[in-house]
Amino acid sequence: MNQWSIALRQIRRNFLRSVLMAVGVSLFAAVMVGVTLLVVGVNQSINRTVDRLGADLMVIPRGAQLATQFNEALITGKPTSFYLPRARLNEIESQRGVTRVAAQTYAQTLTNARCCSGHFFLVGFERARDFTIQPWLEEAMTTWPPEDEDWVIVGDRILLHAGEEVMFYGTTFTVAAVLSPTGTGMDWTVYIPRPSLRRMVDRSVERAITPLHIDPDQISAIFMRAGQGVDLIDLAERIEQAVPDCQVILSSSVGTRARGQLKVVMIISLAVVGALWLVAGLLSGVVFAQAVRERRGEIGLFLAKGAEVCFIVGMLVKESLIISLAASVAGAGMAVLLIVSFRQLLGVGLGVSQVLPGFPAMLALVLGLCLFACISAVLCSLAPVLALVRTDPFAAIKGGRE
Amino acid sequence: MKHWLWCLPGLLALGGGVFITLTPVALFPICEAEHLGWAGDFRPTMRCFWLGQAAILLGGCVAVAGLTLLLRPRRDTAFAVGCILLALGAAVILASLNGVIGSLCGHAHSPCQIGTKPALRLGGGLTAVLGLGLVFWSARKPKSS
Repeated sequence: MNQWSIALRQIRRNFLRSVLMAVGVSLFAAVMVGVTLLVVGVNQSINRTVDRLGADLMVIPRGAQLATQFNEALITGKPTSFYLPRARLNEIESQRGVTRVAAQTYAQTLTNARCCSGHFFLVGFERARDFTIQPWLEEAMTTWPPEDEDWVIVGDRILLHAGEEVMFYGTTFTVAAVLSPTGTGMDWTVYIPRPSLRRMVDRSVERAITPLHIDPDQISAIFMRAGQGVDLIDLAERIEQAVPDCQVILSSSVGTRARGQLKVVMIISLAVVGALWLVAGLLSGVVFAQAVRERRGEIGLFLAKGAEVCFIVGMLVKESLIISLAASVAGAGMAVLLIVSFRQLLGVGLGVSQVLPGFPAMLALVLGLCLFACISAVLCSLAPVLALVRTDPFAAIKGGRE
Repeated sequence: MKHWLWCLPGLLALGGGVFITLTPVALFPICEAEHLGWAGDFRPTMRCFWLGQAAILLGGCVAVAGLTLLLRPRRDTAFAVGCILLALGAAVILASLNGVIGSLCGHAHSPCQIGTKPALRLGGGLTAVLGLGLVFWSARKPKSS
C-alpha cells in the first residue's frame, strides 16, 4: 500500500472532515480566481480601449460630468449626448501640430417606442474625414453606399447583420457593414453617416414619439491626430486657450479616469480575497490538526516500526494535497463558469466592455491561482504534521489511546 | 449508499428548481416580469414573457422532482428523478436558445440577454449534471453487506 492509497483511504474514512476542509479551500479559490480575473480583465479592457481609440486627443464641451459620460461612452458604448458648435472643428484644425480631425455627433435612441429598436448609442460620422471607424470594418468596403440612402454601420455586439433593416426615430436604415470586434464601446455602437443622421433628425418631428433635436451646425466630439513629435500636453493647452468652451481629453487619460472610478471596488475585492485567504488557511490548519491528532496512535506505530519521518510526512501531505487540489480546481471552475456566464452583466455593472482577459492569460491565471491555493492549504496543514513527527513514538501511541 | 444520503441531491434539485423559477421573476427579472403567472388576461408584447412562463413551469417541475426524492429517498426513485432532471435541465437550456423557441429579443443590452439567459443556462446545466450524477450513482451495483 503506497502513500497515495493510504491518503485516499483516509479521505474516504473521514469524508465529512475532508469535505469541510475542501469547502474552505474551494471558497477561497473561487473568490480569488473570480476577483483576479475581473481585475486583470477590466484593466486589459481599458488598455485595449485606449490603444484602439485611433486619436491622440479628443475635444468635447467643458464640464466634469460630460468628461465622465464621454469616457463611459468610449469604453462601454453607454449612450450619451452633448453638443458643441461645428465651427470649433475648423478652429482646432488650424492649430499647429494637428494633422487630422474627425467630428462625431451623438444621440441615443428611445426605449420601448415603436419607432425605435432598443436603446442604442448612435454616432453620426463624416465619411470623408473619419479615421476612427474604417480600420474596424469587417470586410473592406470597396464601394460605399450612396449618401442619399439611409444606412448604418453597427458594432459587433449589436446582433444585426449586413443587409438587415433597423428603425431609429421612425427612419428605416439598412445595415451596410458590421465592425470587427474591438473589445471597446464601439462594439455596442451604431454609426450613421452625417447626411443620414440629418434626415433622421428632420423626419423625427413627424415620425417619432419624441422628436430628436440636433441643430445642423452642432457636433458632439472632435477626434484628432497630432503630428509625430508633437507635445500632446502643450497642444491640448493651446487648444483649450483657443476654444475656451471646450475641454481636451488625452487618449491616455481615458484609461486613468476609468481606472480611478473602479479603484475602490478593486481595493475592497482584494481585501476580501486577503481575508478569505487567512480564514481558509486557518480552517485547513485546524481541520487537519484535528485529523492528525486522532491518528496519533497509528502514526506512533508507524514510527515504532521504523517508518521514515519523510514517509509519514509524505503520506499526510498527500492527503492534504488531494483535498486542496480537488477543492481549488472545483472552486476555480465554478468562478470561471459564473464569470463567463455573466460576463456581459458584470461588464455593464463595472462599466467596461469586457471583463475577461484573453484565453491564454486566463488559463495561466487560473492554473497559477489553483497552484497558489493548493500550496497555501498544504503549508497550513503541514504545521501540525511536523509537530507530531517530532514526538516520541511511545508518547504518540499512548496519546492516541487516550 | 445510505437512504438518507439520497436526500442531499433531492435538496439540491429543490433549490435548483426554486432558482430556475425565481430567475425570470425576481433574480434577473424580464421586461414583463410583473405579469408572469398562469392566471389573468395579460397580452404580452415581448417574446421574453414566454421564456419566463416556460422557466416557471420547468423550474416548478425540477422542484417537484427534488421534493419527490426528498420524500422517497430510494435508489429506484433516484434513478427516475435523475432521468427527469436530465431532461428538464436540457429543456431549460433549449428554452433559452433563440433558435428553438425564439425566446428573447435581439437587443444585446437588455436584462434578459445579459442576466436571465445565462442564469437559466447555468441553472439548466447544473440540473442536467445533477440528473446525470443521480442516474450514474443509482445505476451502480450496490455493495453487498
